[in-house]
Amino acid sequence: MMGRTFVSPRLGVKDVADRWARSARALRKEDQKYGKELADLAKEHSSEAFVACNDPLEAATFSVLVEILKRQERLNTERNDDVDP
Amino acid sequence: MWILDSAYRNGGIDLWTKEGGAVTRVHHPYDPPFLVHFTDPHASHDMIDALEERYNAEECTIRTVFGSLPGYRVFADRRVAEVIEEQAQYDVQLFNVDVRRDQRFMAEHGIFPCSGNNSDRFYPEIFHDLDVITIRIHGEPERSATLPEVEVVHERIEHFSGPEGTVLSALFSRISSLDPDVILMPDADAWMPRLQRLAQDRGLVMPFSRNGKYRSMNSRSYWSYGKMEHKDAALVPDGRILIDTERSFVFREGGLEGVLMSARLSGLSPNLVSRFTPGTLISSYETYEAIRWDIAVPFRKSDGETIRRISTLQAADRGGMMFQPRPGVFWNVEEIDFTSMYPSIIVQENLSPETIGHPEQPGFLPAVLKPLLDLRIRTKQLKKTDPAFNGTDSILKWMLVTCFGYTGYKNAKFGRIEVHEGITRQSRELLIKTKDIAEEMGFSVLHGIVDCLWVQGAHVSLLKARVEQETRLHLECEHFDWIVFLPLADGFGAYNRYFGRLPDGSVKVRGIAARRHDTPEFIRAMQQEMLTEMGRAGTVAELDAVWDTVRGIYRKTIARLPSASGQEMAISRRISRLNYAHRCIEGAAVRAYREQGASVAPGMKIHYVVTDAKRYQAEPVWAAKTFDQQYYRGLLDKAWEEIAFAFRKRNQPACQPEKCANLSAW
Amino acid sequence: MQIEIRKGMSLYPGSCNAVVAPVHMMVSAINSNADLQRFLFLYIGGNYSRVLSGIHRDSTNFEIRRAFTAHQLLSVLREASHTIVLVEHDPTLFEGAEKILAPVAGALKDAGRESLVILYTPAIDRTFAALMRQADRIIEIAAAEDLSSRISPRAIRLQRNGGPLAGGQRTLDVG
Repeated sequence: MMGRTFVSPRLGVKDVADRWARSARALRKEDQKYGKELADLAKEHSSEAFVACNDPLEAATFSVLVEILKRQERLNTERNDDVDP
Repeated sequence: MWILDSAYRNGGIDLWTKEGGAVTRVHHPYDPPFLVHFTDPHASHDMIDALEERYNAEECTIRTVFGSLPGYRVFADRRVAEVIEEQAQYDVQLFNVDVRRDQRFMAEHGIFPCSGNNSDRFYPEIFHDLDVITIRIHGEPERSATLPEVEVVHERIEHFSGPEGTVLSALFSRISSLDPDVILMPDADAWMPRLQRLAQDRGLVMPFSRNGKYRSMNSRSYWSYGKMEHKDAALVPDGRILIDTERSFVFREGGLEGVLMSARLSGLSPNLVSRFTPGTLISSYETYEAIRWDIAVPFRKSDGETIRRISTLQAADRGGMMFQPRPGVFWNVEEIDFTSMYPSIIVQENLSPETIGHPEQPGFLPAVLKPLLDLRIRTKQLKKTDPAFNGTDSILKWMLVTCFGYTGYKNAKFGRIEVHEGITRQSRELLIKTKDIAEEMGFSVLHGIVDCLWVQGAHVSLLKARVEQETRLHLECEHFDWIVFLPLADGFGAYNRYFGRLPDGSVKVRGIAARRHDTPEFIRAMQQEMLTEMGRAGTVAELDAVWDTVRGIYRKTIARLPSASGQEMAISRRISRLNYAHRCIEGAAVRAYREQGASVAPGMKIHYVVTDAKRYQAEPVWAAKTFDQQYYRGLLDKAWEEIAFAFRKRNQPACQPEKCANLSAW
Repeated sequence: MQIEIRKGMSLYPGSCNAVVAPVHMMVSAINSNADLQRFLFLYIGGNYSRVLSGIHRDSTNFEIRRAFTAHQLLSVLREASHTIVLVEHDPTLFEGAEKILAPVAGALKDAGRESLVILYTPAIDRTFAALMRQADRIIEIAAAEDLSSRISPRAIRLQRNGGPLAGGQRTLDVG
């Protein structure tokens, strides 16, 4: 893209996500969906990650981890709800 | 002294002024020198001797934004300057070489066009008593065999038709007798060379110029904002303003007021500025300011960026802030925009080529942009109650908004990459800060790009006030009753594709077929009709009520497709090249244009109809007898899906894009 | 000090080299070179870069200076005093500035007296051809997949001062 010396954030993460999605195909059948999901999670916050991340891989990882932490918290809340309604 | 035109003639400047209804020309002898600084004067002493001898070169101090340099004044033109740099192996710095002489004359004398005596250059209003007429020549200038019917609009409308010679002499004598100051003429730049030839053939004198003289602006192709543009050679008359209303960006956006204001701000003739892009306007404005401040204007940009580590550069090379939108339909959404964000940052942060590393010294760029920004803030306010300010405001917006991005700094005389990076760095901080404030005040942030944020929540005026207070920048707000953010192919939100309903019932659209320049009229009309229907829905719930109508439009359009005319299928594109490496439809269209004997140049807009997409066949719109139905059905369905997405999302709020059924089946 | 563009093909300081090679090959030549950590390395780019995104960011001696006009390129080259100077060719710099091609070619050659100068492009164009006229060596490495279908390996051999790129030594190699 004109005006940028480095690959644009969105394109950079999309490349990472595409690679992850391709790699997911090599996983065992029951694991494939997780690989594909990771590829989606990578793109979830890719734009925001680039405020300070330099590397598409770093941005993809950041995005995935944010979403995983959110899920974890949701899960914990649900569990607590079960125990202590 | 109201200056309406200026030109360099016979070693001086012709100023055309209008006073008390009379137009006069005054000639001022003027042949200013350019400036040269030699990196190694000892090695160049032969050349310096020669310059002293032949062009009266004299030693001087050159004031640049970066400080003073020893150098020479050379009383010669650009050709000599180019010879100097070539012979010196480009190891010289040249200044004031390509500044237009009439502009320089006015800047040095503190005068400017389109303004009365002693008036303020930055006054938002333009007072004038110009006589304006419109000339419309019916037909296509490139292809019409004879001069068709001509229409002259002044106090009344006159038609001239008949044999070419009769039309021509009737038109000419009418122009002479009306003696207008301004001629508005669609496609003037295409018609003028033709009228000139016809006049010569018949021994008639063209009456457009007030002294028989014309300047020619050569045709050229150039890049502007990532698009290849083409400009026809223009024949510009002396002493009278001739505006090509069809091709003039400034006139289209700002009307006559916009043209006159641009001329006043940049110190150039309205004839010239009406043929400029916003980028050229802002750099002309900067040039006028530099001369006024006695700062030399560099001929070449030769100062490269500073040397940096890769990580430092990567941290700087980021562009504007983007938030990832969630595709879907949202209601009661507020769009908040920073007014002229980039130039405001330049002023606030004192960003200028010479202040990089020296933030304490007052910068050139902030100093010259400040009055322009203040003027914009005034016109923006004024236009709310008086639409007469719309044109001026629009031109100021264009001058200020578009010109500090990447392409802006690249070509600007006073641009520097580090300034551009400083602006984007600050803009990212501002947008994040605004998001923080919004969230703290209970708003939910839906989307954001560069200088704009979309939020949901109550009391946006409080949010606006607080952000303005904390950032010291101006904001504008726009309310959407509902807004649709469209997805990309992979289901994630697109930054720049959305449409939403404003309180007046109109629908603001970005990035969809109805807005794209190359969409065939047939498809644009369908989408526009649908959007108008959707504009009736004041709430998301009311969207349901228009669903049947909107789907009806889709079905009706499909049914009408086979009997549609080729005209409606025309795809208009600016071509950026003439040779295409791969087979493509655009390449086929260019070939077809040439086969039809029409001349094409990069940057020109061509209008073609796809006759067989699979075989890469297209025809110029005037020659197309058929069109590829399947291909256009594809375009039609794509446009339909952009619209249908709103209803799908409305009815299935939990729907994931990839799980949704294909829409064409609806 | 040397840079190994590919096995057995090394470039040394005191020379100006024009290199046409696939992007990945150039990137890995830079990334895998331990010498880069010890010597001053200057990358000169233009309006865009195919190479930079692939360079390891921990390359601490890797310095960058971009030129956005032909005149800037000329002054950046003249001011360069690094051991290795890599110029990623950007033809758009020379649009409307064809006159500067010869001085830039000269500046590349001059810089190559002390430094190792590499003028790099993944694909040859007219402006690159003009710039490489004064180079000491011209190295063209074609991607394997581009060539295998067209030229049999036996047909590939070293050419000296021949072919369309005469004026320097031309090396054709299959990746």
